[in-house]
Amino acid sequence: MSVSLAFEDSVVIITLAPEAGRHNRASVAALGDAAKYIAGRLDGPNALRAVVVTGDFGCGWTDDALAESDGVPGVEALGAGVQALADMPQPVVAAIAGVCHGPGLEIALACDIRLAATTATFAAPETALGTLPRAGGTQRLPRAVGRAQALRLLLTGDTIDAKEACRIGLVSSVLAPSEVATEARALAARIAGRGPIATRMGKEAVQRGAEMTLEQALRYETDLTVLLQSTADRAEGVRAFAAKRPPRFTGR
Amino acid sequence: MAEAEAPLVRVVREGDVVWLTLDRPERLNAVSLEMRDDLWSALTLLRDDPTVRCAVLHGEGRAFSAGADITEFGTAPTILDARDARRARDLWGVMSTLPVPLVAAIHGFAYGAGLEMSLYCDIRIAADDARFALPEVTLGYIPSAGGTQTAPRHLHRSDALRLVTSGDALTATEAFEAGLVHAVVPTAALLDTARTWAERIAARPAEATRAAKRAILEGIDLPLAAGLALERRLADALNS
Repeated sequence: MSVSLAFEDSVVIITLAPEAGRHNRASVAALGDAAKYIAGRLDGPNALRAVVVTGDFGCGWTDDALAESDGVPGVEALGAGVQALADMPQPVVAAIAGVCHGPGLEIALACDIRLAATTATFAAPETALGTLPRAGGTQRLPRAVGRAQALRLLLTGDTIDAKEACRIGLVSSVLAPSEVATEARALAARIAGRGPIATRMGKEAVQRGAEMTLEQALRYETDLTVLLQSTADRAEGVRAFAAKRPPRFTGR
Repeated sequence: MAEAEAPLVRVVREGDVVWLTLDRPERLNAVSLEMRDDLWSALTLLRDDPTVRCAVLHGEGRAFSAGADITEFGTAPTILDARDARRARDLWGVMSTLPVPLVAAIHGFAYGAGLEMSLYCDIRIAADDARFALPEVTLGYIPSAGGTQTAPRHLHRSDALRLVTSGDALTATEAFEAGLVHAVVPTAALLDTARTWAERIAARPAEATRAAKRAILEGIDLPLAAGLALERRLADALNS
């Protein structure tokens, strides 16, 4: 299986294992199916509140995937699974310990927060093969690290290490290889303990608002804030703070 | 500009520089409705006074600001009234478009609305004891003084999403490494450092400084061609 799921309370861990580190139509489709399943479990006693993506992000596409017919059908099929990951409402933490190149980098960029082990490496090698990233890389990379660093990575195909990835903002922390998955699960567990509607709307406000002018985006934030004022969780959060006790959020 | 003695935001002019002091130290400068009103008055005075060349925002007591005054939550009659009130007196809209360069001098807690206020400033200087967080999600809501929008405009996306969705705090050093603050100094040197930055900005030609701030703030939300046209118009106005 190229994608497997494990559950720890309300955190779900997606482990990637593309065969020989290479993605194809089936591996990204499996990722997309997992993402859609998780996105469908927002409510109820078994609700999923935060996501970790870990395992082998991968070094590239299989020859078969690269041979997919050019043009819309092949390119869209390869990008759809990664898009489903980006579309998940829950916050997603990537724990990257090894090679994260090409489609692996694009999967990492579809996550919200990226943590790396010292052993991780990052690259967008597509132009060396005469192709382009096809799962959002040309769009999400400049949004993650700014234009100058994105163009450097896309135009040169250079491989960078975790320290350099942290310096340019591609990842938020660099940890020992034995710690990165643990820290990602701990971070996801903290997020899962916050108000679940608030963490989803916080993600939405950041990701959607970044595509608006500041004036529009501030109005959007106000509207989400006012919407949250109608939730039981927000009332519970304020009550718990006043009573100096931990809040009990229900996702309502 | 006349010096105003507002109860919760002190306004003091030193030459060309105005000092705005959040002055509710017994509540760690929590942003109450009254403080919002006082800040609104102070900022509109700044906005309308062309002789002010720079302003410094800082907090009295042990913190810059620990955030919104949670004891006032839920006091609006309905959530639609709350929305109307925010729209009617758009404090953060005034702050985000202020023509005067703003320097934040941050010590102790800069949490929630405290951090968000500093994100509307142009320069952020941190004392080494400063701590930064957007803890709203721990109480079941989201930043509502612009933080979900200003944080990703100052930080890398991964760092901004970590702040917003986890509520985790950053130390001054972590904030510097993330690009959130321009400098970290010993607490005892904070105000002098902020004064040095403010006086350096104030010593430059005021019209050019204001035009540069406007070109960046307005231009960043425009398509490049429109931003370049704005820059040309502002440069022409300075040259004529």
